[in-house]
Amino acid sequence: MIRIAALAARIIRQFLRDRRTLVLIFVVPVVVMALFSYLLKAKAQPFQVAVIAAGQEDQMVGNLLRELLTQNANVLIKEVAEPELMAALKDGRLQGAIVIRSAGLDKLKAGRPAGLELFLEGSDPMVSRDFVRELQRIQRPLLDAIRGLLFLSDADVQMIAPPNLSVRFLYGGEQFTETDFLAPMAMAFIAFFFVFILTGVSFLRERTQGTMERLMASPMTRLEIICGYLLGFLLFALAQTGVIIFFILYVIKIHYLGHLANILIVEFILVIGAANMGILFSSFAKNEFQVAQFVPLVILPQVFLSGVLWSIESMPKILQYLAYALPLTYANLALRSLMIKGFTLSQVIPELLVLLAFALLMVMGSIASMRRTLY
Amino acid sequence: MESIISLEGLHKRFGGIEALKGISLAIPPGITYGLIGPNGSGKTTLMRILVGISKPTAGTALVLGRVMPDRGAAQAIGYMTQLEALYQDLTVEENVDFFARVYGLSGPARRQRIQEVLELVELVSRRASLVAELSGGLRRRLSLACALVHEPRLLILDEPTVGVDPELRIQFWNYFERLTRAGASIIVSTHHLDEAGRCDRLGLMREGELLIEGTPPALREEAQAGSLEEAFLYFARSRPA
Repeated sequence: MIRIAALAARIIRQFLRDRRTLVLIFVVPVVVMALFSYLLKAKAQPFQVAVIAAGQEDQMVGNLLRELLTQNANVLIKEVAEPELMAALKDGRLQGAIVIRSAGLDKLKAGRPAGLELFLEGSDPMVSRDFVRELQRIQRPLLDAIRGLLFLSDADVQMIAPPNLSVRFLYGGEQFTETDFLAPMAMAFIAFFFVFILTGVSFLRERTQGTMERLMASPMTRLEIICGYLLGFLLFALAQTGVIIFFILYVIKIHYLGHLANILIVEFILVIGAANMGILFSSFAKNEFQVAQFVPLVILPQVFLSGVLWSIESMPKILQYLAYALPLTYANLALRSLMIKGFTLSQVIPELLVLLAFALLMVMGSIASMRRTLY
Repeated sequence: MESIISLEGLHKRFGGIEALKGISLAIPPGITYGLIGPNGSGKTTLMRILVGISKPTAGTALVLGRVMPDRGAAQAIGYMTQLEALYQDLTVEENVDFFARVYGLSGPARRQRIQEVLELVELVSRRASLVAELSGGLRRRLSLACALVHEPRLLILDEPTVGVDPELRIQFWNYFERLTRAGASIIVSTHHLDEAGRCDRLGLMREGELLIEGTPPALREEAQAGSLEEAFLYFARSRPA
């Protein structure tokens, strides 16, 4: 016990002396999360679009569309004539344009479809996609309005109002934003990332500078060495989680249900796995740079597949299997249930068990790796 | 007196390479035993077996009466390698203190022992300096202090004077002499033949074998050589590996 405490105390002392790493652990996550929540809250720039009626008879539908767009979508309507259209898209005056053809009332009444052509600048697919989505949203009201025009001109038929839609949420709610959804996952990811990298590097240093050889020649057992490391790193990881929780609850003010202690328990188990994974992987690295090379291998797939950016259900089957083989997936599931759904700890036992199994596997791996590097 | 180290047909194989090819040797306690030999002759492999961090492929290594590897022997062994094996971001005293705790020292006994080893290697005035700020020679001295802090009965020193200037080398050998006089046993490997002369007994290693061993005068006599250098050349030629 005295040996484990000595090792943990040494790691803590080294951390406290390393200002840059302290900044990395405590300041960087807060800055990144602040940036994220700001970006997610920021309203997108209005989409600059022209609505062009190709012929005199198309004006009526054109006006209708203009009105619907300004009322329902984040757009800025610009006046551009059809011949200038391509030039305007090229020089950036426009991001998109809708050209309406053959939408005269008599033609529509005769059952001929109106021609709507959509032009998009298209170099940023995100921008285009958002606009197309908004267009789809007003498609129905536009159709109703056109139908209304037709019927109204028939004078005796009344326009039917679109049905009222009321929305009810089981979890979350309208006031829940993307930040609320992402915060639990960001927390798990940040803890995993930093603990993995930092244990990896400090264990590597221990080996390359020869102190590991000295420790192995001492009465200290491999398990004691790992416990000492865990104790030292857990302290910082949990402190980091504390700082992040404080920040997202009181500064970003996310919507949050559940108990703080539960979050710490999930993080605690996750960090045990991450630390031992760092120890295990460091035995495959010859220098610090090679440890950094594990980031795209170990960290990035977990960012993409653990349900943070894309929901796991929407992934191709084979990627779903992969997603359910990653520890962060379970940490995310557990934290999301605890924080957004307000579940109790007993409701996330399956996820916790998987995380525990992962931690155990990594502990065995790291002990085996210490044998491998020495014998 | 019973041997402090006793080796019987010690073999060590790494993959296809045979690093030790059957070493048998008995070393009496209380002496400085020098292992001499070129790089790759198996000195480091042998010493790693002696401290219990490597397993022999065949044969037995008896150290302090225990068959190695045996964690129970660790408390009585001090180990120093070519690497400094120090924490750069800790101070001189924090380094010694850490290793003292690793060996289970506590309370006033630990503080007193830290003071003693720092005095021995003359680092008392630098106790609060960060290792990163020390010169190479001072770091070597600190590294030795860390290996000595738990008062080991047996010291395994793997080229402790590699890259050390002549003056510090003489200092190191003075420390070693003081330690053996206090009852410790030292196994030390070196490239420097002038250091070999200060050992009580010598073993000459080449390509995983112990060519010959004995006291320096006995070795000189057997080779009918005026100096140890000539004696080693003689043995190296007369016993082709």
